Amino acid sequence: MTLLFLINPLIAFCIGILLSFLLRKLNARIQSRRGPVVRIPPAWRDINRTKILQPLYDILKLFSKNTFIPEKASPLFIIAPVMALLCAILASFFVPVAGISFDYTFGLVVLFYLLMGEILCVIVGGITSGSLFAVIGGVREIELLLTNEIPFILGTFALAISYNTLSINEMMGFNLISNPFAAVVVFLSILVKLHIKPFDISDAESEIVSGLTTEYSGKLLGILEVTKVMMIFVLVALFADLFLWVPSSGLMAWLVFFSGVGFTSVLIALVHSLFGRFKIDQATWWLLRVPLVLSVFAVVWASMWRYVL
Amino acid sequence: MSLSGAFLKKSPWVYHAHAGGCNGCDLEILASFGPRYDLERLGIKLVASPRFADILLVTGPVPLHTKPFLERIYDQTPSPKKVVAMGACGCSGGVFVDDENYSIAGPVEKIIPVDVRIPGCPPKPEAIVEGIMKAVRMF
Repeated sequence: MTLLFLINPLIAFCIGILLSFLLRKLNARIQSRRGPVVRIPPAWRDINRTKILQPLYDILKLFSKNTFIPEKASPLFIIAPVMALLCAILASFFVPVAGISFDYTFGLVVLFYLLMGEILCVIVGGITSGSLFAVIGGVREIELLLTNEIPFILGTFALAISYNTLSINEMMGFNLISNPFAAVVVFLSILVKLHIKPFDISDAESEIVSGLTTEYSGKLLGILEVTKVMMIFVLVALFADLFLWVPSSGLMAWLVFFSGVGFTSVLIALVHSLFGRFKIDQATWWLLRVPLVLSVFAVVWASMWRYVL
Repeated sequence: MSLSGAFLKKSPWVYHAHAGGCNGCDLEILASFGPRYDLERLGIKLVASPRFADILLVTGPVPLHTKPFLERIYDQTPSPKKVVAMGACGCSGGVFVDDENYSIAGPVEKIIPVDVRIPGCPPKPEAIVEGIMKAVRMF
């Protein structure tokens, strides 16, 4: 094993910025708006030439602003975003980028805990701010986490059953055909984890002022934005690795990987712009009805192929 | 121009502070973020909380009971910030300009420092875009 996986967080950050630009742009185009423009008209050239790196500008701006820390907040208010970023960076080690990753025998299990840990850190940070909006957001986030985690784990374990391994590198392949139910389930869980439109209940801007991040400003909000950008890449790459990967090497591997990532992110952007927001009871009930049943089906399907046929 | 100014210019986030307006201005703000005058072309975003904001877009003549909230919103905005007063009421008090008016705390500039004024009742979306761009170039 080489140490090449150490550049994974860097790739995750760079590609994550492009992916979140793609999400914003596609969302705007579907609403028949322009979105952040690629070529700025001459009258506004003094500000900027292109807006492709818009999410990066957002992050840099947030880091150059003042930070408010509420009087009632505990030290966890500052520690939690850093912990969340740490979890995201560690998670990016375990997700193969064109086959390069920290290939650990139980990588999948570690990845579960890191992905869960990132969300829990954000929840802890938000709740310790003492804002009621953040507490409501935290409660909603926990409800989503509880109902979403089971289908996610069952969906990925279906692949673990059919490949008889818990290492992510060994279960990569074009599993979209061999186990489509698992693909659907994991895709839906990714939507919930990234707060894509039908499931952005916990940071509903219009009702509870961005939920958990209400009290964050300046540099701490910047850290949370970096985490969000990295999580987009980590989860999209995980889906592309598990379900859209064709075994290959060299330049071909990068091509296959990035086309998978592009396809997945376009799909996510379409879902984001085409749906409205669930109510929390609708979302939890729907998550229990559809993805949970599908995930059980995926596990049965995988074990049937492996042990019966 | 400082380093933070260079970044602030590239992604100004706008918070719409409603201080007792009649909703005419608010509709025009929505129009300027809609398909025709889309301000997101320049990376400008409407945000939900003043803590995320760089530009405060204040509409309305500021009634007495709204004054403390407006002051608090101004204090809650982190520091490189600009204030844009919008509409006839926001700029000068509009039809509420009379000094003997018992319920109006005055135009926005009496309460918080204002950088850009956008006149009009309501201002056209073109005017809003121009005003926000003026505030952005001040960073």
